[in-house]
Amino acid sequence: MPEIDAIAQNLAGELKKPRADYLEARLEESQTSHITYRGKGLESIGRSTASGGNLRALFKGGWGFTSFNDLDKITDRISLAVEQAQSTGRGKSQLAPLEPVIDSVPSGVVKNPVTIPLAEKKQLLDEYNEIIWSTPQIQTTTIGYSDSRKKVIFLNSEGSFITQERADVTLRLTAIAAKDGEVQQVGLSLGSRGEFSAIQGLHGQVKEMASNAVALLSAPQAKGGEYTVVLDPILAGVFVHEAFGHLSESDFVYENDRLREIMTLGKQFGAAQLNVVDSAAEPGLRGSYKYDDEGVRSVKTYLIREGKLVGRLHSRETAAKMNETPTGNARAINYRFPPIVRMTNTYIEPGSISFNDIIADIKEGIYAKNWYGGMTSMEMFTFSAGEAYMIRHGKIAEALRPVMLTGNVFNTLKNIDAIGNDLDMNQGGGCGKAGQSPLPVSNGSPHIRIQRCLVGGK
Amino acid sequence: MEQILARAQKVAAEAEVFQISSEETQVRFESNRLKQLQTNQSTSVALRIVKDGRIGYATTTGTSDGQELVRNAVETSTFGTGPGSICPILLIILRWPSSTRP
Repeated sequence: MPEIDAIAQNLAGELKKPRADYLEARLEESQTSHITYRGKGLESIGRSTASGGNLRALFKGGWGFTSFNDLDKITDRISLAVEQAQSTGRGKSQLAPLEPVIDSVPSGVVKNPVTIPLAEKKQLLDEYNEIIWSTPQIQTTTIGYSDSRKKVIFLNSEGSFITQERADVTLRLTAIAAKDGEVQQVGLSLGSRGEFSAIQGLHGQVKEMASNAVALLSAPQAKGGEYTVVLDPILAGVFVHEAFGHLSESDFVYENDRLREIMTLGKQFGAAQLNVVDSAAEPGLRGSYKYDDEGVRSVKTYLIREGKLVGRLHSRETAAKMNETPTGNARAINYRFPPIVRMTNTYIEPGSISFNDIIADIKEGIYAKNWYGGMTSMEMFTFSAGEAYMIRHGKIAEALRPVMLTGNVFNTLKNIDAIGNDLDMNQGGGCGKAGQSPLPVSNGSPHIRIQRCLVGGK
Repeated sequence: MEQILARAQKVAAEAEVFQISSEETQVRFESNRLKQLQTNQSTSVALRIVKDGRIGYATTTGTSDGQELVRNAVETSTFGTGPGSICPILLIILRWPSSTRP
C-alpha cells in the first residue's frame, strides 16, 4: 500500500504553486470490520480496507473537487480540480482567514478495535443474541456492529499540514416481540470513539431491552392530546440534534432568506436556563476531533445561551459569507466527499433539578424515553419515542405503547420549563446529510420537562 | 490482480479476484448558480477464496499488494459455508458487493 505520508510530503510543495485562490488535499487510509445478524443467523461478517485522497480547489467562488484512489498521478488530479474550479467560478472567493497549522493528532485509543479478531467480536454478539432469544415471545432480532480506524492527512495551499487518526465503534441491537398479531420492538444503540470495551458487558441491558419489548405487547396506548412531557437524555438529545441543530448549520441558512430571518442572532428561543452547545472540542466522544476537514481548530460553540440564539455552525466559506467566525464544523465522511457543515457533539447543558423534582408536581403527564424514529421539516418535527410511561401524581406509573411527539421546534423550546442535572451523552447515533451517512456524532441532554406537548394516541 | 491471485493461491484451494474501476462527474448548483464540479475516480478489488471447503471474502478500495486482502479473506472463511453446488457465476452476482454469508 502506498505510504500516504510520503505522498503528502510531495504534495505540500505542489499545493503552494499559485494556480487557484485556494487549494487543499486530504489523503486517507482506513480499515473497517462489520458483523450483522438477522434473527438467529449471522447475515454478514467481513473486513475491508480503503485508501485514497482528494483535491479541492477554489477559484472566483467556484469549487472543483476530485477524489481518487489511484495515488500515482496526483499532479494530473491537481490540474483537474483547478480546471473544474476555473470553469465554475464567476464571482468572488470568500473564505474566512485561517492561520496555517502543522500538527499530528494520535487516535487516543489504547487498542485499535479493528484488529480484534472477528471471532472474538462474534462471540460477544452471539452472547447478546442468545440473551434476546431466550426471552419468551421474542419474534426476531437484528444486530449491527461496525468499527473503523482511520488516518487522515490534510494539507492546503496556505501551509497547513495536519495528520489525525481516529477510531470508531458502533453497535445497534433490536428485539422484536410478537403476540396475537401485535408487534412491538425496542432498540439499543451504543458507540464509542474507538474503545471496544464500551460495548462489552451489556448483558444486563440487553436482557432488559428484550423484556421491555415483550412488556409493550400488553401495554395500553396513550390517549392523544397535550401533556406535560418529560424526555429522557436520549430522546432530548435526539430532539436538540434533529429539530434544532440542523437549523444551526449555516449552509442551510446563508442563502435561505426565510431561515435567515428565523435564525437571527439575539432572538429569545427559550427560558434563561436553556443552553445548547455543539462542541467537537469535548474529548473522547464520537463527534470529537481537534481539527475539522478544513484544518480549523474545533471550539465549543454555544448555539443558545441563557435562552438566546447566539451562534451557529460554520465552514470557512459560510463564516466568510455571513461575516462570522469559523467554528470548525466542516466535515467529510470520507475522502470521496467535500467537507460540508455538520454537527459534532450536540447537547443541552445541565441545570440543577433532580429527576424526582422534575416529575414531582406533574399530576398527569408522559415520560418519553429512547428513540425509535422521526422526521423534521424546517421548524416542524415528529418523533416517536422508543418507550413511554404515564406520570401520575408525581410518580412514574404504567408503561404505554411508544408515543409520537409532534410540534414546532421554537414553541417547544419555549415550553421547556425544567432542565435536569443529569446530562448524559448518547453515543449510538449517526447523522446523514447530502449523501454523507452515517457520520459519527453524539448528542445528549439532561432530563427535560416540556409543557403542552402534543402527543399522538387514541 | 495477478499478484493478489498468486498470493491467495498459496493459502487457499481456489481463489478469484474481481476488480471494478469507475470515474464519474457531478455538476452541482446552489441557489441557481453553478457551485461545484466534482469528479470521483475509484478502483475496488474483491477477493473470494475457498479454504478448507469454506468461502472467504474481503474487499479493498485503492491500490494494494493484496497481503492484507488475503489475510482478511482467510479470516472470514472460518465463518463461511462450503461452496456447495451453486454455479460459480451465479455466486458472484448474488454476493457482490456484500461480504461472506453463511
